[in-house]
Amino acid sequence: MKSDSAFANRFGAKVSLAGSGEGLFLVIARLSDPAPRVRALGGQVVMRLNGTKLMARMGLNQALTLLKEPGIDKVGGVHLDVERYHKFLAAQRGGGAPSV
Amino acid sequence: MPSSKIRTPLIPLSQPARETDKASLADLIREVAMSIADAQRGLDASSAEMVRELAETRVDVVPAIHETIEADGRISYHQEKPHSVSLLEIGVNPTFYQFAQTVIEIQMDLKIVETESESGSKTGKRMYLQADTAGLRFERKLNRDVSVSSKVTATLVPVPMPLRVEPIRTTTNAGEDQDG
Repeated sequence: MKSDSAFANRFGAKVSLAGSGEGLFLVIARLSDPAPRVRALGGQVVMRLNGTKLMARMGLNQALTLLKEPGIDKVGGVHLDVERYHKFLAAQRGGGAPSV
Repeated sequence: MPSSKIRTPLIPLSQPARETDKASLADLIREVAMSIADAQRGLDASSAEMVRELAETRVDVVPAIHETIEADGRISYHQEKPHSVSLLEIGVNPTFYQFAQTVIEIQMDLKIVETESESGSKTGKRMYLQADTAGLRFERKLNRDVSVSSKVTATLVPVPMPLRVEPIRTTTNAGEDQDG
């Protein structure tokens, strides 16, 4: 996957992103709901956290494009530690999860 | 990813600067290494900031939903009380990036120089390697040789979250302790 940016082009830089397709990103907007912008770029909203914050599934290139959009404050790659999540659920159910 | 589009430069571009035509090779290498270290620190700071965001963002998690099938076939659901927890607690971690490999090619002339006092006498026997890039810059300008330029190749890879950043989490089931 290649990334085109005016900044990189000006320096004759070649930026290639070797990614494994889509990933999970935490998207934080300054004022408005970032969901329409995420969807416009082909991303999928996984979880709405509040009016300006959500988790979305999209490609790295789309995330980089989103970061440049006005009104978007932060876009950061995140991942879910499934093992810890299951331990957390087990503890909540009273299964007595071990220390993580 | 950084919170701002472009980070504040280490040395503001508005600050007047004079080009130095030579520098100690050791200083040159140290400056280049420090540039990489600073870039890495920027990446780590960005990921650490994301840890804070994840810790401050709370969600309601329903631990269990009980489904009951009555004798007459009716199905009822009972939802346990939701718990407010942070995203970090349920296992959402930020992605950390690291410069796995960085190759920097710098075109320069190397000279062995010896320090002298103002009177011309040698001060001890201090000799060092001096890097001179001015000559090559003239070469590029006058002969228009674009091959005489510096080059940076950097590879970034995602790495696991550093263990020390991660808090040690102990879970105790108070209900079970009371029963037992």
